[in-house]
Formats: sequence, structure tokens, C-alpha cells
Amino acid sequence: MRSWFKQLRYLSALGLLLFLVSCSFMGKKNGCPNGDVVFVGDLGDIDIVKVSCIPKDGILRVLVEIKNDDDKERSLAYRFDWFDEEGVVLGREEAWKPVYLYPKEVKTIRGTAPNWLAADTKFLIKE
Amino acid sequence: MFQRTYVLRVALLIVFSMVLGCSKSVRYGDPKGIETVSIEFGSTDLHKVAEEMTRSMLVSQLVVEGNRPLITVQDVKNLTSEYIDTRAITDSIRTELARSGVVRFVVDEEAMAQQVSELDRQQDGEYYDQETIAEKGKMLGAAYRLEGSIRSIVKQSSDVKDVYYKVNLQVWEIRTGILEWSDETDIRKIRD
Repeated sequence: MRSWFKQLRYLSALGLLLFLVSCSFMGKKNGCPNGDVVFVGDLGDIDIVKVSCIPKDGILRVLVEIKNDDDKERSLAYRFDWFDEEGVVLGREEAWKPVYLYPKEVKTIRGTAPNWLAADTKFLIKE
Repeated sequence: MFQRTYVLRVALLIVFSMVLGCSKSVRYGDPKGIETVSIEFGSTDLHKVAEEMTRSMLVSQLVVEGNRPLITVQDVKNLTSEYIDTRAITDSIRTELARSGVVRFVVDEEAMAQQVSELDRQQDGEYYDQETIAEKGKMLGAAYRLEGSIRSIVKQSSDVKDVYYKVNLQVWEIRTGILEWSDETDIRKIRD
């Protein structure tokens, strides 16, 4: 009887440990821990409204809301850097992609990770 | 005689210096940077198309973690009026997808002749260890084929040129003929 209780105690402890480990991994997968935004140079009246990270089917997707507070249209370039759980850059550098903003326009830029290993991202934007 | 040769050498030196002085300097640029040298389809457009299409396919139902479907690639058709190396688009998309590790590619139509030639070479040659040669009849057939096209609309006035590109890609299931995935991206370039 005592040995049965002992086994149950061990199993409970193991179950709790597994639960905590899986939760910690899920925590890393849900959203990007840093989700940094880097302005390359002075962009004036360009603001980042919101950065949302949405993992879907294991692939990290990012939505960046960007606002042009200027009274003129702006032609900018952006790219994402992707990192694995250890913070190591994944794959090769992405290409800069053009984005056009009308005056006072808020635009959502979508980014998708290059593979299932991506756990975090950095959004870079420049003139 | 000596004076004539001397004068000739000096003249050559002057001409050479002038040529060097007039030539433009060469520098390295960012291969992933925004390129706006001309309005024609360029490297920025190629990167944009390859990245957007690849990432779109990654989050489609076609790619489920672990299934790694077998795909064969057909060249993107150039339906524009300008010369575009569409093989570069196809290669970039294939490389991006292969790097992601979510799909596998089998020999496409263009590489088939080389594949068959290599198989024949191994089978017919007496120089190979028979235990290591690739057997015929073991190649895998693709479950899907990737194809696409690029089209353009060009408008031009005396001082403005406006080019609109539309790139469309599709993945068809070969056995059933079902369109499994399709997406398009567009690019607009203006020169004024």
C-alpha cells in the first residue's frame, strides 16, 4: 500500500514537471518575446502603432501596424529578422521590401517566419 | 629619334590618365537592398515575389508539419512584353521552400535529361561499384506541381511611365487535378 502511494507521488511529480516544461515551451511559442522594432536612420513622423505575433500551425506570423503622421506620402523599405528559441538568427537575411504610405495612413505589414524554428522577430524599417 | 619616342610615351601617359579619370568608380552594394536603377523587373521585385509567395505557401493547408509533400516545378511563364528571366523567379521560390524544409522537390522537366543521363551512366559504366549504383525505376513521382505566370500592364505618357506587374502561382495536385493552393502578388513602379 505504501509503495503504491510512493509510486503515485512520483508519477504526480513527473506529471507536474512535464506540464511545467510544456507550458514553458508554449509560452515561448505564443507571441514573440521581444518583437523589437528598429528604425534605421531618422524616419521623422513614422510611428509603429502595434506589433502582434500570432503563431499559427507552428509558424510565427507577425502583424506590424505602421502610421505615417506626415502630410506627405512616404516610400519606405522594411524587412524582418527571425530568431530561434536561443536567439540565433535564422537563415539568410531577408531582402528589403518597399512599402508606400499615403499621408496619415495606417498600414498593416504582415510577416511570416521562414520555418517552424522561428520563435522571435525583429522588424526593421528605413527610408 | 629619342625625343620622338619620349613625346609619344608622354602622350600615351596623358591619354591613359584621361581615360582613367573619366571612368566611373565601382563599389559593392547591398544585394538585398532596394534597387531603383530602372523601371524594369529587378532584384527587389524578384526577392519580394519569392519571399511573399513562399511564406504564403508555408501557412497554407498544403504544408502541414511533417508531411513534406513532393513537388515538381514548372517555369513561371513570362506574359509581359519585356524580357524577364523567369527561371530566376522559379529558382528563388524553390530555394526558399527547400531551405524551409517543409517540402521536397523532385526532378523537374528541365533537369530530367541530366537525371536520366546520370542514371544511364551509372548503369552502363563498368567503372562503378555495383553495390553503390542508383537503380532505375526508383525515382519518386511528385504529388503536386507548381506553376505560375507574370503579367504586366504598361502605361506611358511623354514624361511618365507606369508599370504594374502581377505574379500568380498555383499548386495543383497531379493525381486529382485539384488546385491546392494559389496566391498572387503585385508590384507597381512609376518613373517620372
